[in-house]
Amino acid sequence: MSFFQEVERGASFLPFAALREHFGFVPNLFRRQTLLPRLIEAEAGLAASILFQEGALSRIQKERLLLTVAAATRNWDGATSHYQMLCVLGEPEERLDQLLSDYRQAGLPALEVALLEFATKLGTNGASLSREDVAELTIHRWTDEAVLETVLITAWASFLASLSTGLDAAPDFEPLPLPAAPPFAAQPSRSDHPGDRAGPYLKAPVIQPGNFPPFAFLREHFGFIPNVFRAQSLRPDLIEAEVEAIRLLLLTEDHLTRWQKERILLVVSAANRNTYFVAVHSEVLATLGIPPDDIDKIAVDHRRAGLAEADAALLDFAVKLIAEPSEFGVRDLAALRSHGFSDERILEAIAMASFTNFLNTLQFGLGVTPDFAPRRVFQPVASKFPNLLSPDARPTRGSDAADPDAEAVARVQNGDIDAFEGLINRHSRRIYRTLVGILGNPEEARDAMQDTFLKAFQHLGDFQGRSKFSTWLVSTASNTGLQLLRDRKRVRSLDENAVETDEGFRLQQIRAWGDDPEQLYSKSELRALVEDHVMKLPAKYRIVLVLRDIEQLSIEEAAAALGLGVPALKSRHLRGRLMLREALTPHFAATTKGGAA
Amino acid sequence: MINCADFMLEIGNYLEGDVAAEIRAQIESHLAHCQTCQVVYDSARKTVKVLTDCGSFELPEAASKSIAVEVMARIRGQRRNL
Repeated sequence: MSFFQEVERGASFLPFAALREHFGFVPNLFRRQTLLPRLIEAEAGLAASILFQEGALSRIQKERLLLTVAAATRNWDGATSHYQMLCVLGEPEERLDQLLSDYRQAGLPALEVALLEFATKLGTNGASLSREDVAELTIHRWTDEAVLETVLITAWASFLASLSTGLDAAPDFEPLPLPAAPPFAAQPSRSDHPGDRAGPYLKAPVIQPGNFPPFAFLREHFGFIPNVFRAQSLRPDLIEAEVEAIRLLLLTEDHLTRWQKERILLVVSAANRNTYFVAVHSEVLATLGIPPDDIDKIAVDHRRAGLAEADAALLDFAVKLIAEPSEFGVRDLAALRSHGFSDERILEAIAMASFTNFLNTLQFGLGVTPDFAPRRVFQPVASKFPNLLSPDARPTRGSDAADPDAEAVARVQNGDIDAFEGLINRHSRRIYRTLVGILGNPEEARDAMQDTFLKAFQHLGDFQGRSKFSTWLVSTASNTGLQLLRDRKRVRSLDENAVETDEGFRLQQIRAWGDDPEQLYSKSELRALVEDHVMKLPAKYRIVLVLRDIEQLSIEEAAAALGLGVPALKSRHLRGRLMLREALTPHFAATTKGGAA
Repeated sequence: MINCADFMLEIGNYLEGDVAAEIRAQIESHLAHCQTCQVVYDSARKTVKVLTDCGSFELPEAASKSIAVEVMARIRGQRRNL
């Protein structure tokens, strides 16, 4: 039950001989690509360098990585193959079962676990990887050579997973009874500072293109040597295999055209939120005479890029294969066939999308910066394997209604930086109020506003729409403001223990207010009066008063924004209101100015 | 029947309109004959109204614009250095 038939290639087909030598057989995944032998040639070349070549990691370490990443990305056929492979290599069966359910419990030394953790994160949400994750491996004394191999193995796992989905090759082994959902979870990246994703993370000795044919080839065909290849110079054989794969998969035009394949590379990279490959291939295409604006449109939304229907359908197919592998199926192939695509061309599209997945993962793992200023900077978003990652902020009541900012937020997340300006303008007043309420000082509030919006921009990738954007933004502002307060030691503690042991607040003013207090003063007098007395309240009450009564956040939203429990929030809110009542009573009591009015 | 101390425990929820019908009835009957609690409640309610209506802590339009410009300049600057 495969999407593609096998064509007999004969015993002399060299890639099969190599695969047979290393695996003992030719896996079905490769047999299903015999319509286009050059695809197999490219893949076998990569396998030889990444998997079979002994380097810093042993074959058994590599297979463990492949098994763990396959399980984490729900690639069960792949997991089964790597499981069997590890059996052959002598890995005890109890450990294999543990690796499938939770690699941390597999009795492996801490440094091996760290390697699996890194690969799981890179494989499930590469865009979120940062320099800190690489530093973690260095702490465990892994060399740069070992990290490079781990990145390559994980990228290879991404390649295989997409091929496996796209080809639906019959499994080589009786499928294992695998756990329905892996209980282990990749930790979200600790750092979200964009600078922490500016690599390269690993050392890379300079190789002169004159002495190294793959670099000369890249310069000839792309006009330059992309940083992603320079960053792998610890292992020239890897670069050689990758450049050969580029020649065979991207630059050979016997079925899909170069431009069709470049478009697949663009949309898949954008779907993976890979800023690097979108930037670099935009530049490559620009040198081929394709206007940057056209390229940009395709990367952002190929359906609105004015492409012919068949070309747009090809890109739908590629994006679905990569972004929604669990939904991909025979109907997607049928859709392409109905547009007149031959099996060879469909096969090539699968290989191209899978190869792009490989390249994207490689770049995320190496952290290389684009060779050209990117027109779009993609922010990481939640993993497409969301059950593996911890949830974001608590859901709030506001999440029920549609978020009026959702569209602008999505545009920024897709790299349209200018759309962020609209969000600033729409929310600057409420963010100012929040901050002045917290800091009690207009000047400081304005400075803190800038920090708030910058922080919000940097962390926008973490925003998953479980609360309204405005609530999330107010929460960011509160955190910024509270941190400033703490830094200046103006409040000793905002934690819940401090709430009820209060400084003996007692009701003192029992004078009745007039019927219509707001008529006693002009609008501006009233405003000044309220501001003055709100500012004099202790910070912890002032903050709650501002969020609840001025910002009109719900109890749950305000509690979430301040990191307080609901009872503590309600208690502070009431206290703040009653304190303000005390302070305002002399100005509004019926017997004072009210009597004369 | 509730007394003044009970009322002060409930005033927060009562201001929010978040009390059960049965308690509401008891609060209202207490307020009807307790002048002190009546004054506290009425002035607290008016405090909230003044606070929410007065438009305090407004950011001047010009300041808002300049902050947006400044932030966008910094974001674009960062992007160039990425």
